[in-house]
Amino acid sequence: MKILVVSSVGGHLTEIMQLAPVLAGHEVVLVLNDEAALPDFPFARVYRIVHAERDARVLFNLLEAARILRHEDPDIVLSTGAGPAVPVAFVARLGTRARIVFVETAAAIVRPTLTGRLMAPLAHHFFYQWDTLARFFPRAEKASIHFG
Amino acid sequence: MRIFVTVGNALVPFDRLLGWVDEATSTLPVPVEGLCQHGPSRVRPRALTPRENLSRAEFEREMNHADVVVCHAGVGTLSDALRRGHRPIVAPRRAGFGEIVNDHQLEIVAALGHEGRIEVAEDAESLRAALLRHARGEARRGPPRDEDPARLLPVARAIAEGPARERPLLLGKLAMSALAALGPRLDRLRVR
Repeated sequence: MKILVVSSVGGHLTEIMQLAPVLAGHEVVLVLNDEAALPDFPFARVYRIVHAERDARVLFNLLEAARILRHEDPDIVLSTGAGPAVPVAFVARLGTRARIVFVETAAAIVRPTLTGRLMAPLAHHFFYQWDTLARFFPRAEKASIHFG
Repeated sequence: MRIFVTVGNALVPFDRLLGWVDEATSTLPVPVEGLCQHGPSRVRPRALTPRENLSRAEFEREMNHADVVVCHAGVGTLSDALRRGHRPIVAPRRAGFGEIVNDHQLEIVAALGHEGRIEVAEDAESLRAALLRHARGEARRGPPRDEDPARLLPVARAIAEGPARERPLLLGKLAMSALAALGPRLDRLRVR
């Protein structure tokens, strides 16, 4: 399976690498939104897109995402957020075969993140990590990766 | 007593916590040693060895060797500490002090504090009291917890299902190609 992992740098990247046992054995391509020390994982390829912060740069991310997705044609797009998940998922849903899998961060307990709210209609599989979020996402499933 | 202090790999300092650590560790009745990963913070607790950042291997070694962990409320840091049997002493970064973009760390501190899985530090005095309990042996870390591989199963199953459809809608594919044509060249985006 070819998996395109999309993440912002920092905590979200730490969080998605908790899924390394699940990723092992697949062809994994990483898309990041800034410079960062890469996690210790055998990524097939790594791309860096512009770091948008809820502003017009998201539109540029759409172009970058289209360029990457057209070239990679992944089977799966996987993300725990933040920002860059949305433009990549949007373009993937529009023009690729990919199944979009989103895991809401374990840091969201009382209310979902903005990324989570935007990803809910875009993702084929939406996972939350705390029962308190269930009422916000009727179609979603629970996956307690961190604090189960 | 071996203490591991870590403020995570955020690009903003957490001097408030490190100031408390300096104050608390300088008045403990037992000898203190250990590491303080401080990132861009300016305060350096005098009792501990300062390190700006740690490799993953160093981080895990410190987590394994420490008697007690003092940290910010980042998800990665907390789950690592809990998995190793620690009941970490935690201070949430606050947006009002410019330590983080928003106050989401309060949520996880409230949830894990409510479940008794962490100890919350409100100031230098409460941090000192918590460290003192460890120094006296009234509090100590438990055994490491094996991770349940089943916790990753829901995500693994979703991935195993493969692509969502045979082929994209032609119109959508054309739209993506038009966007791609406007985007930067692929070799400008690739870093590895």
